[in-house]
Amino acid sequence: MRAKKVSNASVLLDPAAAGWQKVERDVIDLVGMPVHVQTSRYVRTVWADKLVGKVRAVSVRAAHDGERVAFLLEWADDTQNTEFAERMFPDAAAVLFPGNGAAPIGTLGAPDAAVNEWYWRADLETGENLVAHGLGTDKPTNGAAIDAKGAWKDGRWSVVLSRPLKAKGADNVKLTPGKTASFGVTIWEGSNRERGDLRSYSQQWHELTLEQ
Amino acid sequence: MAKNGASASKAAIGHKAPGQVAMVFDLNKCIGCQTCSVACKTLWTRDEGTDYQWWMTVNTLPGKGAPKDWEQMGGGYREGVPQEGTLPTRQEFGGGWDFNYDEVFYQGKGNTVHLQPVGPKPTWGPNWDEDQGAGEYPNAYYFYMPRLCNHCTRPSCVEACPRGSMYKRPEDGIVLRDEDNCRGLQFCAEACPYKKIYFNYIKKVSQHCIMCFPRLEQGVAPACARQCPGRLVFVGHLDDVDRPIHKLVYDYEVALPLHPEYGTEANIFYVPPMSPYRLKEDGSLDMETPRIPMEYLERLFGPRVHKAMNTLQGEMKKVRAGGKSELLDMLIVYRWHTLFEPFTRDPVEVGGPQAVKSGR
Ligand code: SF4
Ligand code: SF4
Repeated sequence: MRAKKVSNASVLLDPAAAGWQKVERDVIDLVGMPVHVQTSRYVRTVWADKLVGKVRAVSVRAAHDGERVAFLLEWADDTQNTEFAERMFPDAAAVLFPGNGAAPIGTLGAPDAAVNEWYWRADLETGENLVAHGLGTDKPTNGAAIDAKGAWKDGRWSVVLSRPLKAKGADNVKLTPGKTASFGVTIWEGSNRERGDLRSYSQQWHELTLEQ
Repeated sequence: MAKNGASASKAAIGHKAPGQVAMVFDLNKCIGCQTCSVACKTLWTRDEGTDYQWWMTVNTLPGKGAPKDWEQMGGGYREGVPQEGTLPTRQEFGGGWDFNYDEVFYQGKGNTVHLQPVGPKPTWGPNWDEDQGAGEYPNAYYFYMPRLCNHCTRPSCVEACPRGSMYKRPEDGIVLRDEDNCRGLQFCAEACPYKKIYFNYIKKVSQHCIMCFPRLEQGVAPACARQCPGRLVFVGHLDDVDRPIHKLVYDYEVALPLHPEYGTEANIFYVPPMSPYRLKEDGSLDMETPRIPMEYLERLFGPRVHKAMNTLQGEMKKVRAGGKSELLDMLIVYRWHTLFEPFTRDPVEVGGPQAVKSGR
């Protein structure tokens, strides 16, 4: 898909911004992270017969202004979970990037291949910049600040994740106008007690070309 | 000394870490005063986000305890297989009650207004079923059950964490969490069968009893044990063969883990409560039927409770007949430091409780 060139990406930080309607969307299929790859035996045992990855499709739009890029993720969700409460977890989502071309998405990277995760969670004020080197390893990392804002309306989440194209730190993705990068998406459905590596995700990397 | 079977029972219990720190609570001496709970609270859980956390709780048994009905919440292991556990809610733990301190202490209404919780009426608390007990007058019964994290030998919490944020310290078997690596996933709290892990709603991480490790490292006993006016909490190394914990657990086998069937091999042990004799209808003593039903104690401590009770009663009989009992002397605790050796230092010696906490 393409990240549309706009004059000012900052106005798109609001998920309801009118500007998003002029950006084409792509629908990406998601699958549940398999239970057998989970790093905890407790999780593998207890979730063996449970549904992982309730959200199976997400609409993605992307736009940049040469300095900053913004993603709008939208998906259907009947239950708005904004807190850790009552045996449920806050809904969450992230855009993923391979730190180098080789990082596998299915295991969220590997010891020598980072995955950069631009992370939004419904209970947090701002986004988080995470880096993972395999399942169960994602950690907040410096070098890039993620702006994130979510809005839930009529059974639908709209979440914007945004960051300057440039970033410090080897594991933080750098994006360049005119170039093509890989990205993926991951969603956690809080009412299904999804957290950690219990999530849905795009099984492959997708291409993102930033318009010149 | 009742050495028989000591090594056999050790093998059956499992491979304890050398230097494992353990505690024994003699339930016959607990008066339910909550000094232990408050000692812990004032030391460790005063910050925002920990208001409802009571790493040490004392509940009246029989009762639903805290979190409410925790024994029905699963977790732990059955034949080595992890069991699904329920995540306790803040309400089930009892919530954190706000009180009308302002009104009573600062608005001159001290003689007209009671100190009471404000906000939504609480429906549970950390000791909600206080002194309710069971049975019929004059043979009603209850006792107190102080509970903290068991620093288990097979901690299901540690194994459940997909991030490896929890660990059992090799030097003393204390179960800890790297809070910086914790993302609040709470699989630990699901998997802990004793329901002793809490969620910090401000820091968004799980938290639990740390066995006062900064105190232990300086030779000071944990606050709950040190402050207990009943002088009933033994602290020490499980493999210290000359000290009370080892003797009570392995030699006399009168100190038992709570719910051994949970499969995590708890390192907090209890001397089960002996109850006063029942009264017959004519008011005479019924010396045959225990006031606290043995089935109930067996549900809590497993089948080994029968042997433990027999041993305790046998020793009491011996003493009544003029004999001597090392076991009873140990439980009476003539010298308080026998409770804590080698952790007998006064917290004041190392700068006071809060100084020990910060590891100064
Ligand atoms: S009592 Fe629970 S929290 Fe403590 S070590 Fe055992 S399983 Fe873990
Ligand atoms: S301080 Fe001692 S006597 Fe008081 S409730 Fe705790 S264990 Fe029981």
